[in-house]
Amino acid sequence: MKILVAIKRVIDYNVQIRVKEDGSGVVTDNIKMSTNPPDDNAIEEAVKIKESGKATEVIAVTIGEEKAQETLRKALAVGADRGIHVKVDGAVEPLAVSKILQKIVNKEKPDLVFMGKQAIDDDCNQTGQMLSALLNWPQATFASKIYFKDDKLEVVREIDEGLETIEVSLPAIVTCDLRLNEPRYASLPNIMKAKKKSIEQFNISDLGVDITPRVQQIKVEEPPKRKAGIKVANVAELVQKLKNEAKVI
Amino acid sequence: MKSKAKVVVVGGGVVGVSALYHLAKKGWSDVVLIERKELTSGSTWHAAGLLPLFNMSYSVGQLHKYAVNLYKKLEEETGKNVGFSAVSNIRLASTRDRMDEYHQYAGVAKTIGVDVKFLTPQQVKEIWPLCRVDDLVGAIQHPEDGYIQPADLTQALATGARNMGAEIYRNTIVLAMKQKRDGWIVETDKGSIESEHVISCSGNFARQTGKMVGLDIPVIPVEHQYIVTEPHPEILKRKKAGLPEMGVLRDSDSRWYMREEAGGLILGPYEDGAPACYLNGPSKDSEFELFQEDLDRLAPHIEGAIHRVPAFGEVGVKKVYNGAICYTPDGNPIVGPAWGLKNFWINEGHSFGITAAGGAGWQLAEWIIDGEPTIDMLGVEPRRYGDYVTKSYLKAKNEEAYSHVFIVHYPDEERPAARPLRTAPCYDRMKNLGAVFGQKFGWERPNFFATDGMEQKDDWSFRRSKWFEAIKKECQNVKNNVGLLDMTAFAKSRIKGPKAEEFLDYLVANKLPKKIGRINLCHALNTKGGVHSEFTIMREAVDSFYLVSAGGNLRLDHDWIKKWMPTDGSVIFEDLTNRIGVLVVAGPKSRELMQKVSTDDFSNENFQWLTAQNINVGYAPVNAMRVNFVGELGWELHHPIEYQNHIFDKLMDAGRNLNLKPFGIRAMNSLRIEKSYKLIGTEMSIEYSPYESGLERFIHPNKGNFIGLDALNKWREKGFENKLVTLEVHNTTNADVLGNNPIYHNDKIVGRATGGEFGFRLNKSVALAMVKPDIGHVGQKLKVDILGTMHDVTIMNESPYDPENKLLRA
Repeated sequence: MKILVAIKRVIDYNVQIRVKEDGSGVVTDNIKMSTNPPDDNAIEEAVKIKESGKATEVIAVTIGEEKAQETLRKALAVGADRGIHVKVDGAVEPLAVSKILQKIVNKEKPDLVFMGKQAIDDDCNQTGQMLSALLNWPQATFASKIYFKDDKLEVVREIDEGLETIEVSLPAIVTCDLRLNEPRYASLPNIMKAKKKSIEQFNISDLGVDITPRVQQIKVEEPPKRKAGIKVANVAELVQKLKNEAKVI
Repeated sequence: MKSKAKVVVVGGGVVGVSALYHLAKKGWSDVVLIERKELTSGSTWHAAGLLPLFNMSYSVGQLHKYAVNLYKKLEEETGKNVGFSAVSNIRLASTRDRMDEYHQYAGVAKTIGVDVKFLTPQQVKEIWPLCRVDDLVGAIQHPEDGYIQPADLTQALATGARNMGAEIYRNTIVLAMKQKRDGWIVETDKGSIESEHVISCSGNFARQTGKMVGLDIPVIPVEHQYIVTEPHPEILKRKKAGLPEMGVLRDSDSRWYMREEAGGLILGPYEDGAPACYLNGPSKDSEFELFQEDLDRLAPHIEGAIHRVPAFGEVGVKKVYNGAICYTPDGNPIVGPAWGLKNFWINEGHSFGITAAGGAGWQLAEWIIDGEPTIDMLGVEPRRYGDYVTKSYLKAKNEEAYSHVFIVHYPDEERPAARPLRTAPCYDRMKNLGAVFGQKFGWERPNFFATDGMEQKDDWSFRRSKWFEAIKKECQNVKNNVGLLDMTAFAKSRIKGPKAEEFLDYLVANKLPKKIGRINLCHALNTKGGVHSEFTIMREAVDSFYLVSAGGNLRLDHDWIKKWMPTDGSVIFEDLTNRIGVLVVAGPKSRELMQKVSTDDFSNENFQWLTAQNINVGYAPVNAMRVNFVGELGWELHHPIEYQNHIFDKLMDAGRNLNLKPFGIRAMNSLRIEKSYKLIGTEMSIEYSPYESGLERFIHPNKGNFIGLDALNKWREKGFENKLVTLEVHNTTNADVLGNNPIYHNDKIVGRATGGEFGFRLNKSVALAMVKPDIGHVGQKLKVDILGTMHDVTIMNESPYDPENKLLRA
């Protein structure tokens, strides 16, 4: 069994995001980047399945600028077997991402496609679902537990009402939740070894996918600044303020 | 926010908060600190918190020692835990040169009073069982050293400062700073503050802060990364068993530090190729900023670390921090007064800021409140650089300083980046004669000459190396024939005007030369009576004086003059450095040489020692001064710089039959030590009175008032603790005194050497040293530690070579 894991390079979650002065986006120059956190869970799950003997190969794929390869190297360092890099400069919208992944799936013919439930930079939460539609494969989103049941997959999903368990037949798309597992850290020798693993590169023109943006971005703004808090003298005052000023109780 | 304060500190990293704390502690509670974001949000927050006492510099070493002692007591004083882990610090050595470095350093440490132990590889293994030791030569350990939590330290200092009345304004941006009479108006987005003093502690923003007041502060940060691993079972096991932390490990030859962190390990390498960052300053919104990691750059050091500590490779990498650390061209910070401005202080360029913050704040507070520091701060002096430090120079040199953090700090090291930069006209001629150059204040100066087939390349060592033979030839030729030295890098200036004499007389402790053409060696003391600057002063006219001082101290000396100079136009100062070149001829045949190239009269009757005359050399105008720093008959030839090659060629041409040969700075150092001649920064410093430095004959306390006189008189009443002596070092084989070597009498430290070299005219190894006066008499036998070996020494007469200056007067 082959597992394809789609990962994205995003601004590191520790970085204080700064909006460009002209409102055209956020500052990314010389900013620390890393793998989209739920994508780390996707890689971890795939590697674990391979370690349990159920899968034979884990392929990591990413779409982005030249430096996105660093993200692939990290996936290779924790156990992915090889990488695929689709070179694109600038942002790619979820529909285009799904179409690119569709091409890669057709080429690689994996039995499972894993990815994070959403990316922490644009928070779209669309790619897995769109890819499922394009391929006409079943989807299991927000996976927090995955079990193999004969030739099917049982997936526990985290939803607003609680946990939902579903069963999907393979091939399938699974988008991973942060609680699915605890991603491992790569050791330095494995990081060094990952440099020798193969990364296949494609230009967007090689794949024949139209990535023209469909969404027009008007403006990027910082969220309004939080006002300074106040100190209350006692519980009574707190209750009074919550009732009369905040009107929450 | 206050509208008035005695001091405004700009910047709330550990460095700024420590400055605030020390001002308050010294009694100035009306002080404020302005921070654009949150405290520590620049570089302090991501510092690894190490407290390395190791430093080859006598002044920086004292600052670090003070800081470690302060941080230990801070919790008791402020009630805030600073996370001080005194786990000790072990530096490994894999080569003999590295051990030599540690022995030389141990000398510095002993004279400062820092505890250093030498360890065998087996002892290292006992403390650090996870460390491989079979390929080590040895190690040193600082038992008192360790690490601290930088943010907690900053908060504790802030609490201490606030408790003493200081105020801290966060999220406040300095927009402009304007000088108003002697004080400042600091404009912020929350209002203006009028203050007497401003201290710039702005870290990564140093150049922007400087720009607000017209200063080009020589600081640009460099990226530094450290790696944090997840817990290792072996370390967790040690913790469970209650074993102590293994201490900070430094593998100098593989260029990294390592320590335990939450059951895992931290590795911080100092690699080649780390780029300078924030070349045009950080973004105005920058806070808690990290850069993209680049592990490829660290690969050789990571391999070295896994070789040394295999456990490090066995666990996963939890996080890589890549953040900005401030750097200066020599890697030491910039602490002290700004040049050309009143009451503006610089506390910037800290690459070991956590360790240095305590001492820097302490000395700055003394400097600001008492007018002078108590420690010789030349090593961190802001005015040790000059206009030659451009932004591109800084980028090249700071990246070099970063990659050199762990190199062996040879005493004769000359770093290659950004060279050649400033060259005297005779540079190419000297190079063709075999010159191997060093750099001082941006100038290329011949250090020695490789002749007779010797490779034209430097050879650094703590011991006598290849150039020992080269300078032997140079010194012998100066003794027997005549030598030529390029001293164009000298700082030169003219002070003239109706009140020039009155002002200079107040500036220096010696009497000024009375007759036109006379030369005196004069010392400017600081207000505490220590020696600040040395000037050779020649009276050119009734109201005009020509001053020469050390090239490396140009900005320091000239700023000192301007600081005290009357501003009413009655005294005019002119810097002549870049307009005037200096070639020195010295040796018994120099008179014959001069007579061949000039129509003027160089006889002793017509041209006496310590006088100057305007003469011609070939067709060129020259101001010939009959002085030199090597103790032979000779002249310094000061000339408009465009004539230098004409003069050079005339001298070399005429000197062919006289065996005229060039000599360099290292030969000069050997020659001057045989004459007990002193240098600022070693034998003379603000820590020593001129009497301790053996300058009695240049000090005239009864001539009338001069800067430092009161303090000097009081110091003399109190009694002196040091005496400069000249030593013969016995039984040397392949190493001489380098300076900072401890001197022993009956196994007790009684002083430290300030410099040394083999004296080829005396055929003795000679050293200069500061010792306790009661054992400072001629004939006294003492011992000196040279690279870990004790040598007998005997105090000689001052100026053991030609003690009566007969050759100089010949």
